[in-house]
Amino acid sequence: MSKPTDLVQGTLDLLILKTVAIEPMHGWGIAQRIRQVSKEVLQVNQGALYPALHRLEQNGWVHARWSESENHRRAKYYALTPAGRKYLEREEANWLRLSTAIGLVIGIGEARG
Amino acid sequence: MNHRLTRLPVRLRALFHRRRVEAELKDELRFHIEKQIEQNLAAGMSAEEARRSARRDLGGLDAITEGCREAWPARLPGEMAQDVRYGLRQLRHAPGFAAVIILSLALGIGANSAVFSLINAVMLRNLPVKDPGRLALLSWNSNHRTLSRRVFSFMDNNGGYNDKPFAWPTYQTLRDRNRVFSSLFGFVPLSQANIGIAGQSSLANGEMVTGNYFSGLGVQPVLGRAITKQDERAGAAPVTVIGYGLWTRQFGQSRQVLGKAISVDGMPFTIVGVAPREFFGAMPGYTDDLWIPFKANPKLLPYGVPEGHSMYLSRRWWWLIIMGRLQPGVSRHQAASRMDFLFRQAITTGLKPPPKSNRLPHLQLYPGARGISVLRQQFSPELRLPMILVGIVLLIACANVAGLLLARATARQGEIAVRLSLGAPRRRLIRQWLTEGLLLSLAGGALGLLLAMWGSHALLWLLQGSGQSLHLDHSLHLNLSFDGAVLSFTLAISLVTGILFSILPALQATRMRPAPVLKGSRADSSTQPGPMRLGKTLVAAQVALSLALVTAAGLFLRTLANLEHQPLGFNPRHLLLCSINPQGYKDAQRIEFYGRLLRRLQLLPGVQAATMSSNLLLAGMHGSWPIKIEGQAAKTGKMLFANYNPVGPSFFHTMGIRRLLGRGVGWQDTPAAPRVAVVNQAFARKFLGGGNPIGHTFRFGYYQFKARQFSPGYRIVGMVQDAKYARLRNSPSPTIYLPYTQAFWLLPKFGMNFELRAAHGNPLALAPAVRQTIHGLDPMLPIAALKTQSQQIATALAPERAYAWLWGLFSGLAVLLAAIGLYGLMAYAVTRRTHEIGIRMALGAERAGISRMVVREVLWLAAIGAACGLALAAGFTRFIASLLYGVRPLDAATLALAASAVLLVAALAGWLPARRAARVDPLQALRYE
Repeated sequence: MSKPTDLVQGTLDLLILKTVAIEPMHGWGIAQRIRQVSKEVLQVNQGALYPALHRLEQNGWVHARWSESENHRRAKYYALTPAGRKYLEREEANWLRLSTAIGLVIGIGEARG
Repeated sequence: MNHRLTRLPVRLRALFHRRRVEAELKDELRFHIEKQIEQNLAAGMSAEEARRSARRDLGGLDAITEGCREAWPARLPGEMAQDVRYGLRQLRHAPGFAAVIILSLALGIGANSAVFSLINAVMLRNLPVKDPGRLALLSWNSNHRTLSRRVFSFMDNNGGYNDKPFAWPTYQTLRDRNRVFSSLFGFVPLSQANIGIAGQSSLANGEMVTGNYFSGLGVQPVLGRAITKQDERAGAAPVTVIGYGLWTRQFGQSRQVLGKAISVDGMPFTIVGVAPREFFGAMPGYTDDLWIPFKANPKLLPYGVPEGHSMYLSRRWWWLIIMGRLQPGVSRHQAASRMDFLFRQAITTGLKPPPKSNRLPHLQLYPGARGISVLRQQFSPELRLPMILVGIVLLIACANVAGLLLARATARQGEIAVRLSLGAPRRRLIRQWLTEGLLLSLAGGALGLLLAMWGSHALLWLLQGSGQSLHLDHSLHLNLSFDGAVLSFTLAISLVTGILFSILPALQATRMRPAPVLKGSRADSSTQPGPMRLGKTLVAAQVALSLALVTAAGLFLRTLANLEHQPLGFNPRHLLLCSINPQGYKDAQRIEFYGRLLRRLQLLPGVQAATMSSNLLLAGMHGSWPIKIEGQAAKTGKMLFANYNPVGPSFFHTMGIRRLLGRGVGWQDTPAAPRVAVVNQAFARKFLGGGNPIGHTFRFGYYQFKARQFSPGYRIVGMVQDAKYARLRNSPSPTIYLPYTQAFWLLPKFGMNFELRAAHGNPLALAPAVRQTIHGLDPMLPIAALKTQSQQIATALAPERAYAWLWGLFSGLAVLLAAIGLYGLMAYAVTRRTHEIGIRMALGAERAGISRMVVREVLWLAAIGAACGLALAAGFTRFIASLLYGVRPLDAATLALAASAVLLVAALAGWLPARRAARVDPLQALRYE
């Protein structure tokens, strides 16, 4: 089994935004969700998760609120703001373009090699 | 934009509630670990292993916290502290520069704070009472003089005053039947009352108040008790509460004062309390020495109420000022609308036929928190002008400091270039400059506050005179201590000033391409025209503003000189004046008393001549009355108005007023003798077509204060030269001098002024003998004004002198600041052009030519500034036209003089740098490169 891939910044933002777009979620939950959805491929570096969340909050992309979690403890839930949704759409489009482009480049490379 | 706004709260929170945000981060991370442990346990790990694994996965908590901190906005206090430290270091490097700036600002800001503290004391400060915001002042509006002849002319003689008086029965109705005031109380001033304490008499100001006055205001005496409703009942023992000032002056703050006797206009009262120190009644600025309840003595009448009127029963005499304390939850507007009906009902009660309702006044309520200020209305123009004046001075100081900072910016070009090229954003550099500017302005503000503490008292002293000229025959009593308002004002103008003078230099200094500067290319820096052009504009503006101020100062000086040196028509030198107002005398007794006293005064050694008059000359007061001249075809409905002054024997001789025709007033003019009068030239000129007035007879209208009734005839027996009467500014108008013995119907119960001409020396040396003589006749009689006529004139001139001083002082300051600015700019220009000057000299330019070049530049600059200044002055002096005398606002001589004075100072300021330019050593200047 290969080592879980470290996520570059920017990509992490995109993943977080996409995750909280489904429903408000706390930090631990976000990390879990990313891992599960990516079928254990993407392992969020937990040390980087929280600075990223706070940066997104300061930028106004996500909105944080303290509320009761599933085990009756108070947790900080992050939710997507309208501005964050627009930003996410833009970033998704960017990502798609970028990954398509990279795919194309890599695809060409394989064909030659 | 919208987005920026929505994320603002979270950013502000991270900025200002940093501790809370950090604590929340801890909670957030703890939750994460607990959750992870739960999962680990579920996966079958041991408790210890689950914990360790969870911690390991998360990584170092400190690193995470640090990472999050980076996401939060940079801590403002931290960066600010950095800016402040850096700024202080910069200023320490240039202490002289900093000192000049701080001093300029201290003068500018201090002047503003001083004037503001005065305005604060007069206009803004709340009464020192409980919850002043709930107080309301009752008034009414009406364009017609309906219903009543209002006698309380103390305050309502001009439009725009809020306080209007009410009749006592109206007060009773309003007090007993309203449901919006928790307390409704009334008062009237009792001015110049003759009070006697342990056989010593003096004059005091007081108020007559309703029994609920103190409880309504919520004022607790510092000693004893307040006046209560019980004191207002008929037959109650007469009591008084005395003011803190009187307590200190007369009783040395003795606690034994309670129960002591004090007489007010000869009637006995017992002292039951002492008012708090800061409480001057509901009329700030008007010293209140004592308060007595209404009805305490029916013979004691407040100012303005005529004798013989039953003031508590009459519905026609409106004289009581009413204030009220609103009940909780009732607004002023609600209260006014609910009281109006009651008011209109009360004033029409008993009137037949009932007046038309559309002519009835409406009740109005004004905020009462600041009390009634006589000063507020009378002082405001006096205070508004100085405020404009000091505002301009501060503006000049700002321009000056901006110019200095600009020059300094050039010196710091290297530093700025380094920081810019190291990647400091321009925004950050501008903030640094603003921080330095604020440091300077706050230091200047702090120093200015110290200056203002002293300055506000000096200012009050200067303005005191103008109070007197406005019929305020009482001393000003203002609380000038610096409260929150003055401190906030100073802080606010310091901040605004700081931003104002540093923003331009900051923008200018940071607009540069760093590379050439770093390469050390001088040529490049001197080809940037920006700073020089801006500096020149600032200096020209300073010259313009200061010229406008100097022009105004010149006009005020001319006014003062014109007033001082004009012919008065009488001789004011060596004259001693004193005033008395004996109480409890009948008219005949009074006439006899004054005569007896005058005969004794005339016999005093050292007295050349003595007389008396109802009004002092140049004291601001004069009588004016309608007259009808016999034999003249009376133009229908048109009365002649003449000034009058009842005088004693040898008045014209004593005062040095030249007699032109006939005789003066003498001892033979007894009450029983034929009625006579002496008139002045203006009377003959205006009323008799310049003909001989002697033998003409005239009658006064409104005899015994009754309309359509004329007095018996007064025959004119003499004519005298025109002389100034009430004011220095008034040109002589028709004036009648009549024997005081035959004029008592004109001035019932009024006092008398005595004038004595000293044979030689200072007339004040006569004062002890005069005092002794008066007390020899009546030991209890207070003597009001023992002063010389010259002092009286000086008092009359006090406002003019105050203006001349104030404007002279501040315009001098303005010119000084402008000169500093000019000097600084030129010194800087010379330094910058050392190289160029060196080349010119090497090419054979003469030293004199070099200085001429610099001086010419200075003069050009000053001339442009002066031209703008003249235009400014032309617009500005229109506002002070009403304060001038004998000089027009656009007086050419004054303008020319002011302009040349400013240009001269400018030339001096330019001469120093010019000399330095001439001394440049060409060899060194060129090697410097």
